Amino acid sequence: MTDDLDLSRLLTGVISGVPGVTDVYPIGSMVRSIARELVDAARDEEAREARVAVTRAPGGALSVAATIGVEAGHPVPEVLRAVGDAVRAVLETRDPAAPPPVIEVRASHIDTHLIGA
Amino acid sequence: MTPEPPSPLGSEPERLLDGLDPEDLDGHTIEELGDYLDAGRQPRDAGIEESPGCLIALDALARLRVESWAMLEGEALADRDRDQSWIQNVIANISRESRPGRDIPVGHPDHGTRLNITEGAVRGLVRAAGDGTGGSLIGRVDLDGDVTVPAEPITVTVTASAAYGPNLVVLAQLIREKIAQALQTHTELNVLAVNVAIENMHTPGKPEEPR
Repeated sequence: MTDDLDLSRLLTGVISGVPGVTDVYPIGSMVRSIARELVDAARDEEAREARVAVTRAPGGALSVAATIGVEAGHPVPEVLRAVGDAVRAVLETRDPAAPPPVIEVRASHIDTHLIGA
Repeated sequence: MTPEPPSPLGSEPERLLDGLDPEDLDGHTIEELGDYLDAGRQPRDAGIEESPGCLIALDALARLRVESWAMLEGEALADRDRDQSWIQNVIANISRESRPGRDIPVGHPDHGTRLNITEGAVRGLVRAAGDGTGGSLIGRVDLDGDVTVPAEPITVTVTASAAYGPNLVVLAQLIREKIAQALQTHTELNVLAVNVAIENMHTPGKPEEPR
């Protein structure tokens, strides 16, 4: 569990650093059902920066889910793909022998302040 | 920060609404978001700032306040009931459209990587693009068709209100082009058509009579 919390924190930081990402939103209702344990842990003050849902299937395969905001100056599909690739690179580096993970990234806000400017 | 102009209706537009379902905005009401805008988004409310739905609604409300003032100046006092109804409809649509809605897929060569944009984010994008033309405000945004299926043909339909002055045919075409361009940049939707219906035109107010 602690490992998953650490991984969530790490992935939150990695995703935040992808160009075009404005925010990584806290785990919301859409993923709460698959991340209940992590949400419980996230009540801890130390877990506030762990915003990526990390769950494990019985066989050990990881599922990772993140919800992000994107700056309108960057095409959303490119940002989503960059985030997905960044997450996969972290997971493969940490455990090259692990079963292939399932990565889900959702853009739920596009910062449109640049549009029409 | 530049102070916002006073509303021609004498109060913030969102106060005209008699409460919407807080579930639409992650537990917040549109009135709370209006108060938060009034306060210059200070002190920071993490519950609002970290809610994508609230952020979409805040963006639209901020534009609505500025643009509605510009469009309704002079007219609101003469036809108060009509304009309250119009703004009520816009605010109700902003709240409804800010919900996440359907997941709109974005392709990735790895089948284990699933990428999506929420329908709420896309509606917010469409509204911002339409509002950005100047002289018009988007009333309602509909994505018609199964947006959850890649490459499925869809149509986008928006209603708009226009300020008196510009040629409406030219204005509708400009709105259509801005929306189409935004969707092409930020989604992989197969958009067959962008339909624009200008439902309201706001005439200039009468000059004040000398006392």
